[in-house]
Amino acid sequence: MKNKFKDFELVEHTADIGLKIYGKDEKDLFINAARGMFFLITGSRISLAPESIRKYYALESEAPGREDLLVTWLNDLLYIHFTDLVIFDDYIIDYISEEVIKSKVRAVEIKDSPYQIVKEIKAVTYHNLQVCQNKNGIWEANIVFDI
Amino acid sequence: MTIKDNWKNILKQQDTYIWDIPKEFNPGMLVDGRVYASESLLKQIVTDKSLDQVVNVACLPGIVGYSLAMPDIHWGYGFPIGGVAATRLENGVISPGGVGFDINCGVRLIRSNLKLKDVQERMSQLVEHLYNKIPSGVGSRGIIKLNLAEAKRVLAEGSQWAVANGFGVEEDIIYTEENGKMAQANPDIISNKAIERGSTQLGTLGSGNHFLEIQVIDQIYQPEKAKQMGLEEGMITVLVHTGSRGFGHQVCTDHLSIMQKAVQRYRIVLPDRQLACAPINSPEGENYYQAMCCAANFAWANRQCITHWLREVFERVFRISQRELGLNLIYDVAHNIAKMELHQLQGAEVKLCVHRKGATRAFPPRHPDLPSKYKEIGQPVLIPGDMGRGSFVLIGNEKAMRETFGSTCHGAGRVLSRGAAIKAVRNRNIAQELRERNIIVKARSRDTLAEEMPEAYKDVSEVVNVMDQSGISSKVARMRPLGVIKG
Repeated sequence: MKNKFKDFELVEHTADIGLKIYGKDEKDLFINAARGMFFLITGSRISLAPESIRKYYALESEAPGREDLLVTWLNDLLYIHFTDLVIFDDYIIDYISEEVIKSKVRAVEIKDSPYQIVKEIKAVTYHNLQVCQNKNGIWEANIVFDI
Repeated sequence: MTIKDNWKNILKQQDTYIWDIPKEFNPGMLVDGRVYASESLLKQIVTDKSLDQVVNVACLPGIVGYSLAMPDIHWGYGFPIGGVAATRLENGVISPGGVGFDINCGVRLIRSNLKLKDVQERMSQLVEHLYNKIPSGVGSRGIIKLNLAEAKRVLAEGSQWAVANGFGVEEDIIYTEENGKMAQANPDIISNKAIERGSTQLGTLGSGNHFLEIQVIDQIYQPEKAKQMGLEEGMITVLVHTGSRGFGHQVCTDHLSIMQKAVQRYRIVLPDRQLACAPINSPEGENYYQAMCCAANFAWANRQCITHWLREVFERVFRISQRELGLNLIYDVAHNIAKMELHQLQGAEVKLCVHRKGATRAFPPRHPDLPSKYKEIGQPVLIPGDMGRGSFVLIGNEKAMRETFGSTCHGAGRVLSRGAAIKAVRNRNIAQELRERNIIVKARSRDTLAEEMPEAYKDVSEVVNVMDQSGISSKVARMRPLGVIKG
């Protein structure tokens, strides 16, 4: 399905790199943030052929507020990416509140995918971190990554 | 209003290279900000938000002296890169943002008995062999696989673990800051996530601005001090720049999350969440420091393992013994770290927590922490430049203790964002351009080469001259790149 609006855009930062992320609701925002992060990592929008070998992870992330939750969820995905050498291509969020997100994510090992890792993201930062709903009801987030 | 819009009115020039931001500028500032820069560097510095970050750091509880900025300052997250802040132990805070994700990112310089004529014919071969031997690039994994018990020994012992396991010689430990081991490291508080990320990455260079560079010394500024260090014009040297890899990144991530809660618990008001911190004497502060020490030790072990392999490569390529090669460590310095150090404050000696984020320790002659070889001349300070221009060896001066908590600059400092650099080099071949200048570069990624092109950085000579002319740290030698391995 074609998005009615941009899902994310890059924001330049002298030493690091930022993303401005959009979502029609909170779930959409979190998914687009993950897609944006793996766009930075691979330089591509990840879309895998059905026959690709897949792995599935059930993730439950907790944090003391919505902004922290976004950082924690992205850091949890980064941790799996680094330790299992996978990238993600599909995200299902079963539950989300201000403090908890329960999700199922689908991954493929990088070596079994057509993608390459072009950028190492060290971590997701709290710098200029912002999550809010604009006057049109669209959810927006600003995130800076340490690279 | 940001400083960028009105810097001429806000900054007060104290002398040629010192510019103050008076604490009256922002009601939250507890101390003045102080920037070391030439007027031309300052004009670059004010184009980003790094001076606003100097102001933010000046708001940290317990900060003393100044919120300091070195001439290579640029916009970071939370702290500026090129920032120094010292806090009192009794009422001050420690902030992971004042160290950065790459804990103990640092540099080491290795000398040799080789001269330019010895390596010219074999430079391509040397670069190729080093590139094949030392894992580099994004997510690079090493050949050392650590189980939990061994990983904990690395975290506790640092480069002393590496030398004890055959990756180097005893002398390497003497010439490493802290002797390659911070004793306060406590591996038992490290998360499984951090251990897992670190267990495959020991002995890897990584990506981004990390590199291994073969160089020739092309200028000596202080012959006596250079001689004492074992450096002379025409000598081949090797510079290694890397840090604590995924281990340190995960330690910082873990503790930033804890610090976010600590900020609430201790009712600390901060202008930027990335400055999250806790009182040094709180459980959160103590745990972070002990974990940070583990990551610092990991980084020293990392650089030590790389040193061992580069010595093996030189031995193989030149077919002469280690003794004849003389690949001795000059020094190893951290430039992302927090240290508990003794400093003079209002006439009294006090222990302070000195955060150096993109800043290098620069202790003067006769400082008790220096090895005997450097007691009379001061601590060697290693300043890497970009791939095309030189790097420098400086020496710490007494003035650094009086003015900058024994600190100086750490490198050239970025002026272009990575995206802007990639756009700027479209249709250019950076490797070819450098080859035409007799610099052989081998990189895993074409993007890395573009992002790290010389024009993406300030001129390191201008940065170093500010610290030299200010009397904080003095130039001893300059090295010109010959061969570079990038991630």
